[in-house]
Amino acid sequence: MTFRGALVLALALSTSPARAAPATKVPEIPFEKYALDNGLEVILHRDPALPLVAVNLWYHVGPVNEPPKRSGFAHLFEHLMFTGSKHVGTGFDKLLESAGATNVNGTTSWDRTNYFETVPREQLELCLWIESDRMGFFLDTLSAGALEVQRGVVKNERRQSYEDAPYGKSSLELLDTLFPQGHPYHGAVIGSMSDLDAARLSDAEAFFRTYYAPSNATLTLAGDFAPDTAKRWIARYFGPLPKRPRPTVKHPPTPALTSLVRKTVVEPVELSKVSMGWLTPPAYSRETAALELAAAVLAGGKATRLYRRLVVEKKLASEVEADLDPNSLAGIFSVSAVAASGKPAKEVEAAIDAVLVELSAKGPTQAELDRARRRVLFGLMSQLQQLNGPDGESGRAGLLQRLNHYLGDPGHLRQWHASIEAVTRDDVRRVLAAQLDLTRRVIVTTLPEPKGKRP
Amino acid sequence: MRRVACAALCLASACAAPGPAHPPRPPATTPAASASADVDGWRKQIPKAGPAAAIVYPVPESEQLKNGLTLLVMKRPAAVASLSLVVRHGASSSPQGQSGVAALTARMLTEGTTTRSSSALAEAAESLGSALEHDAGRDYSMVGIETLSADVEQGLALLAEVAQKPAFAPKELERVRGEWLDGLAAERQTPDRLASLAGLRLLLGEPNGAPVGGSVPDVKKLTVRDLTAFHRRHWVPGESALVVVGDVSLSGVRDAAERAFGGWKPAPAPTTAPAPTPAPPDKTRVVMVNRPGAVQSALFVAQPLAKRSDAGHEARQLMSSLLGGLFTSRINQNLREKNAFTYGARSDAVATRHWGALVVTTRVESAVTAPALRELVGELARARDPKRGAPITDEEVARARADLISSLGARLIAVDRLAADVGSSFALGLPPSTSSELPQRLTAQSTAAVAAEAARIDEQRLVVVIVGDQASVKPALEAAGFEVREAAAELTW
Repeated sequence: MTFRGALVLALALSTSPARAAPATKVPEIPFEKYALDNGLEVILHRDPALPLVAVNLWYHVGPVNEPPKRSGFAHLFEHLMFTGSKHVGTGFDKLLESAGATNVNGTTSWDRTNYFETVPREQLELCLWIESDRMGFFLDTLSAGALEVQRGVVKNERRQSYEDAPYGKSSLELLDTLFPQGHPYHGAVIGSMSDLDAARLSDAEAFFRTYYAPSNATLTLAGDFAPDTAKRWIARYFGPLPKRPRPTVKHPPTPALTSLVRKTVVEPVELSKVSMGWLTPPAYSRETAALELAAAVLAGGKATRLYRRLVVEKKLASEVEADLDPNSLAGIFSVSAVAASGKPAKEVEAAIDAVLVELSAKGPTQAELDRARRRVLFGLMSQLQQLNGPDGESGRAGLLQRLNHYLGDPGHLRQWHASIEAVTRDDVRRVLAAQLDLTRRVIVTTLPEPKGKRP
Repeated sequence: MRRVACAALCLASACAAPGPAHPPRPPATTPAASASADVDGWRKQIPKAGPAAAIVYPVPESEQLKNGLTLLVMKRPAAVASLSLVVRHGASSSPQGQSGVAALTARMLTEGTTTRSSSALAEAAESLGSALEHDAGRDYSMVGIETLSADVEQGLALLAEVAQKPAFAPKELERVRGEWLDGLAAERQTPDRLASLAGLRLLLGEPNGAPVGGSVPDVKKLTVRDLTAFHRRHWVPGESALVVVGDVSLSGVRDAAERAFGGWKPAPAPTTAPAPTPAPPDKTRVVMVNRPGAVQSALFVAQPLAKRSDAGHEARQLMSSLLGGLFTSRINQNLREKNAFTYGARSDAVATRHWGALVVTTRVESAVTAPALRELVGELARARDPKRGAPITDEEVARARADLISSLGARLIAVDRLAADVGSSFALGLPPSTSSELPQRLTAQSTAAVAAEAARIDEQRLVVVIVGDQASVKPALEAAGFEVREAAAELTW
């Protein structure tokens, strides 16, 4: 899910008055935001519907901040954060499980790292104790042994998710071609094996000291809690942690693609795949809402352009996808299709291109756009049932965090919703024509290994 | 991400949907040493929990229409509603040689009715922002849709139409068959899916072990007539429940259901011979599926357990949880946090209407396949035999119990999770109060009861499938004392 600014709000008037689809009522997420003296931001969203509370802590650090030759380090560090802290010791997983915590996890994305859990409301203080100890006293227990184990775990994560996963190597090839050597996103979030091997304990110490400061973090609570008590506990546990400077990092602009770059990857798969990627404007740009709807017009349902053309009519593909992944340095718009058995990748690619050309010339029909809009908003409504989504950046706590991270405004949901409602057929047409230039993109073709090499 | 968000299993379902959210990470042993005169010494105090607020898991209201259709309704204050029609028959009701028929029938219901084409159906669902879902498992088939509260009646009408008036158009079946076969091929190029596919066949034998999605040769042969027959026999109101979870009332659902489903003609319940209870193999043997050059091995280790309705179900859930369900479970701690063999290892106590199984799955670096399997089997032995130095403790049972109870409570947060629970109880022939009574039943299990279930494990008689690089992995396994056989081709059809 992505969001954009309110700049196109006025265009709402230009949409067709005959539009059949009614506007969707998106709920508000009421919240209070404040900061401690040491700079820690706090966002509180109270909803007593169930006696549960979600704790969600974001550190505003990710692969975007990794030093050279340390791809994957932000994520490896996330794993280390579960190995213990001075006063809690190494037993907090057992404590949390015994306390009835669910969805206990951490995730790393390009620009941020988060840690979260959902607990019965009577266990809120336990979570604040644990999270504050990690923030203040992590280095006290960090050991070389823990680093070795987690390095091994993360390398297995890489093997499982990319090296030995169908199309996994191809997806890394696409990202590394979009973000070449030297770009902060190069090496993807997971990192390269050689960089993971190169990580040292001193890297972890420096990374923690620079980026895991209270002033570089935001704590969100969502659910059933007494705000006064919660504030008292937050002050007690997080308040005494020393103030440290908020790191500032400046990045050169991401170089635009200047041509069509092709890559071919051979994998032990049965079906070929075509994956295309474009660099698009960063998160919450003027174009974001229209790009989001363009992706939903293209794929994600059976009544979408790519599914109908490639899967139903031409039977060239068994699966199609279109996605916008907007981040601080650049967005990634991707379109991909798994070829149907025996269908050449070249034909699949040509069919995708034909759809893109049509849509950039004529735009979607009003019915297509309305369905896409309804799907995007329904997805949001469905997601907002949860306090914490599985990735810690969806659900109510996750969404407040995401909006706060990118815009400094957890209350941006209303404007984002308005911007989605405002997108017109012509907006989609224009954004496709301007952003999805067929001559400036990356195309990765996955080809099956020759038969003899496989069982 | 510290933990993978989904299980490798998909035992009960045709799709690659995750099981209970899960796998892996850290330990608990030495409390950190701390300096004297520590100004932060107060932080060593573990905060006390406040007064516990018990989560009440509601019992769905239940009623029957005149034609025998069961209504199961749970009112929740949510902006979205989950609607599903669940039939008590799935893959285990497939006629011989027709594996996949239940799953493909459910899919074809969403591909056109006598009054609406496939694309018109898709447009109708997507105009509501949603999509028609379909699924089948060993014991169920279903179609469903999620809608905004305001669109519930339209959603019900769509479900009624697809369930009662499917077109089964030959042209659409040919298209969907192609897509389906490509899906089967995609599944077979995913190591963990391939391992569980072969493993369940070994565990359950033919024809019961055939995948829910079907074997490739069977799916190639299925005809419109097969699908129509499966639908006519099994999709009947007396064998079905309409499950509605959302901001609705029983009377409102009843009225809408009368309009949408009242005309659905009753038919006699089909009789299906119960599947035989699987027996464990005479000895532990590794069956190897070769994946040349693979950097990891996918392991599937299983043994039959009692079926869902047999006594001891809750104790078996607790046993599996402390073995490989929790992050701090024995197997995950050993394979991941102690040895870094894997990104995660898990176990599940699968329980269907006709059989059950303890299933442990993991993916490990190729070079450590043999030690990983040895450790895994060792953990099963230690759980079975308290004399091996690791008897099951009150503390770990309590932890497993807390986790299972709170995971159930967490399901209240989303209507689709509640609907899945309600539908699953119906399909298994359990009373609607099953989930709401679970906390009490889990609490009633003693450590001795859990240990008694673990005592039934026989690590000498396990089904083991390994998908990996045979050239390097097989010699190492043999050197470690395991008997290794190559998988017959039909295990992965």
